[in-house]
Amino acid sequence: MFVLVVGGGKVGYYLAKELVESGHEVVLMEKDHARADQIADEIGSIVIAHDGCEGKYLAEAGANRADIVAAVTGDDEDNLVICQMAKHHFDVPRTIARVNNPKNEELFKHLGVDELISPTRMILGSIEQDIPVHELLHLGSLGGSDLELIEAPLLPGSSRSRRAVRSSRSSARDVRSRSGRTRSSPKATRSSRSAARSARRRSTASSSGTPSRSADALAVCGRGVAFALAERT
Amino acid sequence: MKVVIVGCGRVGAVLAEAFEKAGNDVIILDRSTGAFDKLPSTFRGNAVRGDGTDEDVLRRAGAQDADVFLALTEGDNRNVMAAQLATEALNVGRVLAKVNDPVRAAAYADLGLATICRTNLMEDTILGFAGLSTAQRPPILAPQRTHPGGEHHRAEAEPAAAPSEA
Repeated sequence: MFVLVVGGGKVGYYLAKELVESGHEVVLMEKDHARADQIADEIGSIVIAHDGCEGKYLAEAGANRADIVAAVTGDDEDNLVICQMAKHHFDVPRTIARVNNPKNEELFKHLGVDELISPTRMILGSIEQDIPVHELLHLGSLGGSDLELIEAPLLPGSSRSRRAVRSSRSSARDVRSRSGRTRSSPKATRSSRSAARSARRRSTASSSGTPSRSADALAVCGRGVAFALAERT
Repeated sequence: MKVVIVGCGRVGAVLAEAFEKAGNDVIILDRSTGAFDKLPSTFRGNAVRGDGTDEDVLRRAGAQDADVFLALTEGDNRNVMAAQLATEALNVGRVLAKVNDPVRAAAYADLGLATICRTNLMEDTILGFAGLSTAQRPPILAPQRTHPGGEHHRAEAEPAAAPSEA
C-alpha cells in the first residue's frame, strides 16, 4: 500500500517508520527542512521537505496515487485541509486526520474526512473510565457506525436491575427481532440503528428508574450497571 | 448587517473600519490583542481576542447568524477552516475565505466555498499593468456548488456572486 504521511512530528515519524518496517510504500512530508533532514537520516529518503498543505507539493508527493493519506500535524486546520485536498482534489480513497480539539470531530467527519483520531478524546475517555463523572460512561465507539458502547448505572427500581446477564442478552435479541429485521440483514449498521431506536422506545417505557438520559439499546446488564449501545449524540 | 472578520491584519482592519462606517455591526477576531492596534481609536465594533477556528470562541464572540463572514488571517488553512465552520455550524449568510495558494483557492471554490486569492489577483493585475494578457480570472472565485452538508446554508438560494459591499 502507498501511504502518504503529512507532518513529521513524533506521530508522523513513528508512523512512517513502522509503515516502512512492515513493507509499505511511504512518503512523509515535513515542511521544516532541518526536521526533514533528520528524519531522512534515520529512515531513508522517503521525506519531502515541503508543506503538505500546498496543492503543488501534494501532487509532487504522488497524492493522486496514494491509497491512504494520514494528516498528523499538530494543527487541526492543516489536517483538515490536507484530508480535504486529498479526498476531493486527488481522489484518495482513505483519509485519516489527527484531531486535537475534540469539538472538531463532528465538523471533520461532516466535511468528508474518513477517519478521525483524537488523542485528547482517547485520554479523556481513559480518565473517565476511572473517575465516573457522568451518569453514562463512554466505553468505546463502534467503527463505521454512529453507535457507541456506554455504561450506565441502574438505579433501584429499574426493571433491568438484578437480572441475569443471560436473560438480558436475550432481551437484546428480542429488541432486534422487534425491529422487524433479521440478524442476517445485509446493512448491519442500519439494522443495529433501528434496533437502537426500537430499544429506546422500549427502555423509556419499561425502566422508569434509569438515569435521566435513557439508554438507547439495552444490551447486557448485571451487578448494578448496564452496558448499552447508544446512538452517538 | 452583522459582519464577522477573522484576522486583524491590514486588510481585516481596513475592512472592519469600512463596514463599521457604513453602519454595520462588526465583530473582529485575532489571536493577538496587539493586532487591534491597527484599528482606529474611533472603532466602536467588537474586537475579540481568540482563535477563529474554534467554534466555542466564535460563538462566544457572537458570530452565529452573521450576514457576512470574512476569513482573512495569514494562514490559508485557518481561513478555510474558519469559513467552513461558519458555513456548517454558525448559519452565516455569505462566507469568504482568503486562500493565497491558487491550487487550494480553486479547489475550495469547487467544493462550495467562495475564495479570494492574493496570488492570482496580483499576478493578473501586474501582468495587465505590464501590458501582457491575463487569464481574466474573477477576483473572487465563486462557489461552484453547495458546500457539503450546507443544506441549511442561507445563501444557497442566492446567486453565487461576490459580495461587493467592500
